[in-house]
Amino acid sequence: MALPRSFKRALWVFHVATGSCNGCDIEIVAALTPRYDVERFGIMLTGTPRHADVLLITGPVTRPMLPRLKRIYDQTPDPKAVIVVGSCGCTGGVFYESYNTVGPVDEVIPVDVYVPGCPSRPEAIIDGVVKAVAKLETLEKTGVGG
Amino acid sequence: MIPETILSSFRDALGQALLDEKTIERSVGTRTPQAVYDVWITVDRDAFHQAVEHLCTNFAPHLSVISGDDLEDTLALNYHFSVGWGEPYGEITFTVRTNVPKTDLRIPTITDILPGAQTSEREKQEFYGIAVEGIPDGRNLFLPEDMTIHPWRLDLQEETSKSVKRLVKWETRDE
Repeated sequence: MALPRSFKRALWVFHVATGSCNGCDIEIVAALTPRYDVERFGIMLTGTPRHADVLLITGPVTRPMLPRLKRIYDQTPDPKAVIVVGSCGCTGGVFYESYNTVGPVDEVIPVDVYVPGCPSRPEAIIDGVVKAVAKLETLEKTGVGG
Repeated sequence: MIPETILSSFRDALGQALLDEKTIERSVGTRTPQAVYDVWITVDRDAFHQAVEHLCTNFAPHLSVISGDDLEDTLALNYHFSVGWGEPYGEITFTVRTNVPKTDLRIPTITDILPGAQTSEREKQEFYGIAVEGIPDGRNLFLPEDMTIHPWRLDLQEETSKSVKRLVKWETRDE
């Protein structure tokens, strides 16, 4: 059986925690481990943004993480997709009004897919990554961003 | 879920005890922007247990965490719930806030409705020195059992700094 076009190549993901409480990070680990096992789709976490197709961002952006997040975004080669996991990164969530955060992720870098939830369920995270694949394919076809 | 659905049901259920309400709307997405909502309500302490009970019977919430704000004379406790799971763009962060005066630090437990709230309640108890009434297990969670200070209270910072050693100077680290 031929693989669907959306899985024609392995998708490498870089995970950035910009100030999350670790709840969403644990759900990402749950998505990687055998019960959900995203590696069977070729979705794999990388150790460096330079090898990544997708940025998976958890948490609101704290002030020390702001320059680092921008640098990580710049280091990721085009075409790239950005996924925000968790309510904090989508809207501010629990950390809304906090003096220590810059705000939700989309105030700092452009975001393609939002996965709400506090924490998001692994199914939702996988669904978000699949949506990002579709986005990457459009980018590749149109030649936008590289 | 639309915030107005929840808010109108709370207005009917609580009446005067619903002190304040706030809806924050944010638009997400680049091509077809969608609205997502954060809803905050403030309820009177006497009606707090009733409010959580009303939320749990009607909206099947998930308790994310309990947080607190030290506002000098009062302590504000925020119970962060998320409701409306499963609908695209329908999940709302719903926060029930209640103000507790510093002179009378008591709050009823919600472990009879949501047993999983105990961990977070125990944390609030040791860090803020608030008495959670009716909690099944009120031992310290993170701090040692013999610790008597409450590190998150702004009025007790002097006491705290005597007992807690600061390992990293965050103030100068990123300048």
